[in-house]
Amino acid sequence: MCTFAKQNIMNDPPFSKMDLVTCRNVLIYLDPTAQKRIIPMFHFALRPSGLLLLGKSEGVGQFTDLFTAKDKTLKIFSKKATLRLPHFEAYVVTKNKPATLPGNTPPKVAVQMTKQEISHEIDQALLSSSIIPACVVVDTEMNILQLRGDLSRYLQFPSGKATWNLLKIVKDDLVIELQKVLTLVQKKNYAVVSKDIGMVQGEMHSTVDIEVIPLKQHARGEQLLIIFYEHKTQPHGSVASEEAHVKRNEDRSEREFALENKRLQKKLELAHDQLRNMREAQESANEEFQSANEEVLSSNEELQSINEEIETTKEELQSTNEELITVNDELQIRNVELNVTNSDLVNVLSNSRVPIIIVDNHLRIRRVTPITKRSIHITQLDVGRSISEIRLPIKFPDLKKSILDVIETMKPYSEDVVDENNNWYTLWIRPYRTTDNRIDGAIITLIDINEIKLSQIDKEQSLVFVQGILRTMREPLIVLDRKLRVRSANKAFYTTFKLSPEKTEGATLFSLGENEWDRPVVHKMLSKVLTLKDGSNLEFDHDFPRIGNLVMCVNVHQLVSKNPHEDAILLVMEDITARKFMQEKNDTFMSMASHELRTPATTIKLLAEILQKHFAKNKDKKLNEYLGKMITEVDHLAKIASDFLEVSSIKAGKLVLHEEPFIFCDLVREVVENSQLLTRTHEIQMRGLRKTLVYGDRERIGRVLINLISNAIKYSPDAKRVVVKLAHTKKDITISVHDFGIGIAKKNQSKIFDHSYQITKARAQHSSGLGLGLYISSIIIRRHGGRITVESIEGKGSTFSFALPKKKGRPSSTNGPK
Amino acid sequence: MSKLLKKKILVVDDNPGVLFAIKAALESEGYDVRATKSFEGIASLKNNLPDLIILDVFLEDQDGRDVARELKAHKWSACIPIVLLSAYPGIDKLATEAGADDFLAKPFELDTLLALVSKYT
Repeated sequence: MCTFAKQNIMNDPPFSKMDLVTCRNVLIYLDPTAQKRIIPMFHFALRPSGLLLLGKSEGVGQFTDLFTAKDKTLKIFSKKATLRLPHFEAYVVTKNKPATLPGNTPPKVAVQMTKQEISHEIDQALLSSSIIPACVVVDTEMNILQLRGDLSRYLQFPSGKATWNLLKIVKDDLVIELQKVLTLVQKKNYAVVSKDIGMVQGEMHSTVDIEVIPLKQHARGEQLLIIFYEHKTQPHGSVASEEAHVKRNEDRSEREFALENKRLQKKLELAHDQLRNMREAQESANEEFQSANEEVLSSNEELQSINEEIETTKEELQSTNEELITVNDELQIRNVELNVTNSDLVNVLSNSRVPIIIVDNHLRIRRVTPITKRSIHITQLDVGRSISEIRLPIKFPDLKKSILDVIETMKPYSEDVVDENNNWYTLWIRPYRTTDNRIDGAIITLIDINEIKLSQIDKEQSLVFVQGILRTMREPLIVLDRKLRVRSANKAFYTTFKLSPEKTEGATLFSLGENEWDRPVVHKMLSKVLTLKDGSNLEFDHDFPRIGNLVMCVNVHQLVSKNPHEDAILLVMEDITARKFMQEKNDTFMSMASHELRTPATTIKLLAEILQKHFAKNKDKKLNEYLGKMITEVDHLAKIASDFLEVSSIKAGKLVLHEEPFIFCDLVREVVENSQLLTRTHEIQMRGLRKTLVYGDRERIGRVLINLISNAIKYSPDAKRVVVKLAHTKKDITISVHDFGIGIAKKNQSKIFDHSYQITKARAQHSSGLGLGLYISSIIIRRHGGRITVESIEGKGSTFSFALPKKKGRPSSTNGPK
Repeated sequence: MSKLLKKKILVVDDNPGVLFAIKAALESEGYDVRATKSFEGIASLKNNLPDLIILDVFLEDQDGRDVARELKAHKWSACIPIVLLSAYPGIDKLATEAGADDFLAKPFELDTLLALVSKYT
């Protein structure tokens, strides 16, 4: 709520239950007494927790029990709860004059007089009424303080408001004279008497003397004693003759007139004087006022500036204080940090598993870690002793000299030492540097390197071992770094390539042996090698000018270490020139042998068939049977010869597939139909034929199938059928050949696809083959990215299946059509 | 059948056994077979043009493919069908390369031989 009201804080009763009182720059215009009165009033006016806002250079003064400063700079004060009720002076409401303040000059002494005072006054009056003339004591304001004697003739109370002002209650005849005298007294400050003042009192006419005596100053201020002396009293009229009475009346009227005139004249003079006096007094008072006012103004300004200065000083003091507080806080924090650091250090030292000895410049032990006791028998008791006096359990020739050297040169020193129990340590001596970078002794640490040392010894031994292996190796071995520089090579390498270690180590591979390695074939081989982490059987064939043609088989292994500078490429070479030559010879021989075998087979077969045809009409059954057998065996012979050739080309890695897309079920049908023609004992059944495109070597896959079907017929002599079944999945096509024959023992099932598999007796009885067919079949299927499997129960039959991927994208096809 | 009406077939193979057998097989079917160990040169054919030449690839001093190419290169001999013969695998390719009309892989069936011969004569 906001109410606008005019209030004089000096006079009007205060408001109450205010939340906020702002009184800015008012108090500075009031004197301390007034301030003392106002501030408790503010306190009264505020509700508990109410706030008081004062001007910048104002304050609550001594009333700190009433207000607390919330903000010293902004001068916000909050009300303090107090039991004390503020003491208010009685309010005197006067319209024209400002209320005179209590304690300064009490305005109504009589009113406020205590009972004791009054009785004292009465006593005095009783004592003195007959003796002393009528007199009155007034203050400078003309307020009556005391009355003595009979004053009834001189005082007259006017009707209206009661007053004790002498000038207002003294009889009119006396007023002018009294004022004149009073002015004189106030001016001159000594007693003045005014004589023969006419005064009419009823019928009586009397003359009065007025004496005004300034009294000595009291605590209550200046006072004046005014004494009235009456001289004569003449009656206005008396019992006389009528004439006399008339004459007297005339005389009297004349006299009265003259008297009146005189009196009026006097009064006029007096008024003039008074007026002049008053003007003078006013002028001087004015001047005085002006100068006083100026003085007040200037002193006020001075006070203000002083106040401002004080404020500034106070602010400075405050900031200094704050700085001091901050510095103090920092110091405290530093202290806490130091404490933490200290306890950290103590903990680190006491928990350290590393023996640490700190010695001073004179080699006296200053500090040791507890662990030193165990490893080098130095305890806390040795602190203060010189380290050179103590016999250490480590073998170290001149510790003292080494420490002094370190202190002198400031260079850390380390050495591997061994103790009595053959434990290895690294002994470090480092200069002890104080925080202000002064050398104050040394720190000796012993780091247990026993395991490292042992593993180092182990490593050295294994290195010797490895070097031994390399030395005895027959194959040339060379270690290259990333940049193909030779790091090392073995003896066989130097022998094989006729090189010397001096010219080889550190040189690049291509610069070896008068650049004879710098050939495209070596570059090609190496670029292939570098793409592999691990590779074996990489062949390269190179004509070395100094050595001759060499065919090398290279195995590579790249050692990648964390440090790229330690990366190594290991190349082991095998001179396969002779082997290669032999192999080639062998291949030629195989091919020749196969050819040579087939040529006579052709002759025999043809002749036998001619004979068969020739004797077809002959009834000689035996002849026909024998001829038939002859033809079969010749076919078999031819097959063995071609199997040999196939195996030898597989071995030499020369198996070439002629791949093309073809319809798989057509091939199956063709093979089954052809096979059916060759057997009269078995019926070959086909199931699950569906048109599917397969990418591969049609002829060879056909041969695999022929092989499986002929095997199925061969090993099921007592059965009547063979089932060929096709199965499709999304990715591949599976064909299985199922017979109902003798089966294969479990233990042999995994071996039957090996080329070295020796056929069991049971199989041998029924077969004259070498068992190469399944081996060749498995190679062909695998080369197509497929797989061949067998499931068999002995005595019940076998199922051979192979799966081929429907789509192209197998890993093996190296020689597929472009 | 008179010799003039008989189809004339030239067989060249360095193996006497094979030569003998083929000759026997074809003669028994009534062909006029001339079997030689080696090809006697293109000129030898001029006066006696065969209806079919069966030629072994690997001859003693000759290559059957070269012979086939030579024959196919001459206008007058280009029309003679040539069947290449070999015990080596991949004969089919060799035959096509050399421009031969057909091939026979050793060992072959009598029926295959006869079917092939009758096809080209």
